Amino acid sequence: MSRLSPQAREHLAASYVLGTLTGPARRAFERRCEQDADLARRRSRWERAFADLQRGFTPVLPREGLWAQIEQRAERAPIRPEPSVSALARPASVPATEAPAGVTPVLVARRDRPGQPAPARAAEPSAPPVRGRSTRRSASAGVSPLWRVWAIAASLLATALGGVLGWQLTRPEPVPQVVEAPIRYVGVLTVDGGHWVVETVEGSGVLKIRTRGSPRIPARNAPELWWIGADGTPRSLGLLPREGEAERAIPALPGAEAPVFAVSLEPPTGSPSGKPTGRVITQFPALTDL
Amino acid sequence: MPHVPSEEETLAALLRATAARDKRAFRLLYEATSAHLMGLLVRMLRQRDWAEEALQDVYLRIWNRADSYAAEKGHPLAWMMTIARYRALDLLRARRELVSLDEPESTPEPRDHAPGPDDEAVTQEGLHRLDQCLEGLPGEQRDVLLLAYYEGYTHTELSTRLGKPLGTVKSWVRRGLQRLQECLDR
Repeated sequence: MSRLSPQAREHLAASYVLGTLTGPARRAFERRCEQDADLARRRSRWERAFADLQRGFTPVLPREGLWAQIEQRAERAPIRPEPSVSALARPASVPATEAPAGVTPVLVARRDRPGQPAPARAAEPSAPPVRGRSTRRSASAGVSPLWRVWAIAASLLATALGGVLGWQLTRPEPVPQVVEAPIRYVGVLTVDGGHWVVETVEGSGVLKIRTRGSPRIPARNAPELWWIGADGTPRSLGLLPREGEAERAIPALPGAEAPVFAVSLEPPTGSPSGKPTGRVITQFPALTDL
Repeated sequence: MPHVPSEEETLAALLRATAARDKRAFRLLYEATSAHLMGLLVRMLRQRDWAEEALQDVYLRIWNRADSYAAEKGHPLAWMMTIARYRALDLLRARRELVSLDEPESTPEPRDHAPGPDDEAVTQEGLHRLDQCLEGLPGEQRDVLLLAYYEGYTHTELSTRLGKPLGTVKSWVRRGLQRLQECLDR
């Protein structure tokens, strides 16, 4: 790709940003940008240019319960090392119900109901999600959210956003330096009526499953999830639930360049042979960590 | 007269604080921006539950990568919406292998860009905005670019949508991008 003319590089960058560069070429372009500053610059210029079109999207308010889910996932995300972290003191006015960061939740199966905060997990101190904005949100349905935040943020800036307010970070043990994050594989498996989102981190031995909607599966079958790596051999990751969420231990998976998640219809107790015996109803080339 | 921070400065400050793990700032960032990102995701992904899933993924990425934002990457909201759009494109690619195409959509018109109270239009002397450049394109080139942008269509999907040969739509896209580049460079 380094032999490409400037014109060709421009076209690659433009088609990447637009989205018409697809498949392996798209992935290759992303990798290339990590090492090729010129290409990354061209991409950045096209991103800024196309940003003009973003105003064509009509804003849609997300439902109330989404923030709590995001917050919980952010809590579980590995804490990246910060160059100059001093203890962030908690001012007296901060409600005591805010949970400390850095607590690893116990892995339990739970059912996610929209609009409701998730129940507290067993080993975590009980911490209801931060509340407070719901009435304001519903009252301002027609107003640009950007205007609403001005008054709040301006006062925060006035009190030096840099470190006065915030979560108290409690670190009972030293946080390991994350030099290179392991790869996270995500699959979205769609069938009539719903889909599953599956996720596993390389080397973790843990698979997370979330069911959305009501995936339609014949009553006499069970959906079984498979991982297909470079050698093309399907490896079972167990049966998928018809609803709700689950986390389970899985065998160590071989590393793969472009693994695929697939679902087949099996007898209610799963494939008897350790290989798919029924029809493959959906598959998804795994997305690696964003 | 005290300096009132602009929308851009405010969001950039919230991003910096988010990078420093300030969860209150992250929440404010979410409240300020999530409707815009959600609007993009709902439009491109069509299904609400998919859009909600993608919204979470995108904000988690922003939580993890807030330190990679810098002023030269443009307006903070634009940067965030670009992340959301890439996520939508990735999900669409995989999903469209399984789901048949919906009914044809009409080509969207970009919203009126006359500056209003909500807009912080930053125009520099001599810098042509993309929408102005788009208006200068032949209709079929503009159409394919807008469909690709707002609906996330591939060349093949454009060809099916418009009932034109694959080679023709590829050439429209290519020429359209080329003209845009010439216009933007002027």
